[in-house]
Amino acid sequence: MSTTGSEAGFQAATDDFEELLARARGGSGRALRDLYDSLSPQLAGYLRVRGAADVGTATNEVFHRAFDRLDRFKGGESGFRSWIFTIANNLLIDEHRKRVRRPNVVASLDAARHDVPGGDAESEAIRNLTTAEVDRLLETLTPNQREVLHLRIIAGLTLAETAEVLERPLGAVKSLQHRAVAALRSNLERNRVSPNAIGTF
Amino acid sequence: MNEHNDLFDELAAGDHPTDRTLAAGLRSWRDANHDATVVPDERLEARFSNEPPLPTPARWRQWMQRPAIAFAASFAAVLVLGAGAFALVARDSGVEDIAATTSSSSVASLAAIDDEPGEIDLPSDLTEQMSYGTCVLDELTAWLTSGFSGDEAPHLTDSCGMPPIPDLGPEAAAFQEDLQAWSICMVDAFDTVLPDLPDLLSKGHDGADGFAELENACGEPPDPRDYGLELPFADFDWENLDPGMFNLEGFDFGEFDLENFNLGDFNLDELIENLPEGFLPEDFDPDQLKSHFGDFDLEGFKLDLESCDPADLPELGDINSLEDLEDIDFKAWFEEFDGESLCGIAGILDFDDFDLEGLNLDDLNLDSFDLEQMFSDLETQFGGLEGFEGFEGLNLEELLGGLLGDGEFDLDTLLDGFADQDV
Repeated sequence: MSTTGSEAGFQAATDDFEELLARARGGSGRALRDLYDSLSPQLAGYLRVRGAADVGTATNEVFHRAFDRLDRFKGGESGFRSWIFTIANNLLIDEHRKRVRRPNVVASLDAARHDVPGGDAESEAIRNLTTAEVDRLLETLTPNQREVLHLRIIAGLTLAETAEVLERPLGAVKSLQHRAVAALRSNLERNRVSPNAIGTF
Repeated sequence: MNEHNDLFDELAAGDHPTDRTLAAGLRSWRDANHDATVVPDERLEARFSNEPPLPTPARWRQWMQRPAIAFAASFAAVLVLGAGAFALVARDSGVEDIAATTSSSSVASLAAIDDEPGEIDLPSDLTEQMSYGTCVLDELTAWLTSGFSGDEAPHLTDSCGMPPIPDLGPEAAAFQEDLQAWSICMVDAFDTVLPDLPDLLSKGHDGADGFAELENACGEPPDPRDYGLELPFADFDWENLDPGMFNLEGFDFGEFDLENFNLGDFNLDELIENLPEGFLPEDFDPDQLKSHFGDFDLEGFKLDLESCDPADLPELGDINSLEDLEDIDFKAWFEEFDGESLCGIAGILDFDDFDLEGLNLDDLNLDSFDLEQMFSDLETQFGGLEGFEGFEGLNLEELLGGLLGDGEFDLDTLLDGFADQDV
């Protein structure tokens, strides 16, 4: 199942998350697969923009850790999403400790983007230009602001879920997001990025 | 709809002319980064290929589990209420301190009661109730797992008898009577509904009717508070339970030899194997125990140490004698490491509860301490002792003598141990 670009979370997997979770805890491979399919695109994207060395391996490792401890998880769908990305953050911290230097994030993004199946040449060119511009804009943010936007946009988490993953007060996350958007807006205006290069909403 | 759409919507509807462009840019950036091409590895594929056998449609099984769980929960309530009421009766029978059990949030107070005359032994008094509960669950489980049919539905009253309610004494007689009646009603209702379930389900019902019948048959279980009775343990503060309140001195570890327990070779599986029979509960899950260790990555921690540059370490100050150690603020030293430090010691900070100040060096057992191995480890982890400064003038004999005790310390023997070390 592909949910690339979707905002639906588990909608394609099941309307009853508790039932899905119960089956997964009971060892149902189908349920585990649904959980994996529902979150792996967002998770892989998040791990990539956070600088994971091997996105595929890291994505699978997050799910291994989650599935190994499924009995310990308490909560609903929203909590599960937060939990998965909290595990992802822990994994990134582990990885960070093992590396003396973190690889350039933009470089890994550019490399990964070649793997994205594309459409026609013209739209591909627009998308590459757009993502490159956004990458540059995001580089101007503080690490905390950037992390909030990564979780909000790539992971698709709500403000509350983002606050839970980052272990910060909700108000602080709102403030970080507000300042991040304002900074993006300001930098975008300053650099006068052509709307035609961005595409239409 | 996820809330993050609101972020895009707000931008698209914003007053700033660039907001729409920004929203579109972030959206396409998100879509470009979402990666549906990630595939599960072999271990995940193995997990996904597993499907527990379902002798009946999953819907049936799930439905069946509901009344089973409901009944088990109801019966557990009977047990708890019965035990509580029993304690209540015992209080009125002359055990003065039993009142403490009804309001105390301290396990210590329970332990204290244990020593009082007229000691209450709840588990032994509830043997009959526990046996009944086991019988009911066994009957239901056997039926459930055999691909249940109406003809083979268990009849709980025949198989297990009536629910036994402990004698609750004269003060709780009315409550006991109603509790007994409610329990019998529940068993009767269950016996009535059970054989009809497969038929109901096969006709396309989802079982809700049968379950509602079961729920409505007897109403809510009687609440002892409605009878003017207190609920022992109701105020017990489980959330703030302090393990320190337990008296482990009286706990029998059997043949477990704590003194010879070697943390260096700690192997949880081996430990569990060697524990005395009956020490662990039958349903003990070692994986669950391991999971309590959280995300701590021992291998990663070792790698961190290997990549650690001693130059990154905060200054510890000169250590020229044992007395110098007393002046070092280890706590402040540790606090100088920030969480992002690549030096492996940051991993230690993951132990949030580690109480450095409470570390009692007097309890350290140095009998099996391997000095050679320690220096070998230091060589490996820090690339040699050259990186350490401030040891000039250190009186090794005095230091080690102070640590190990003058009477037992033999520097010559120690130096023999360094014979092969290039220090």
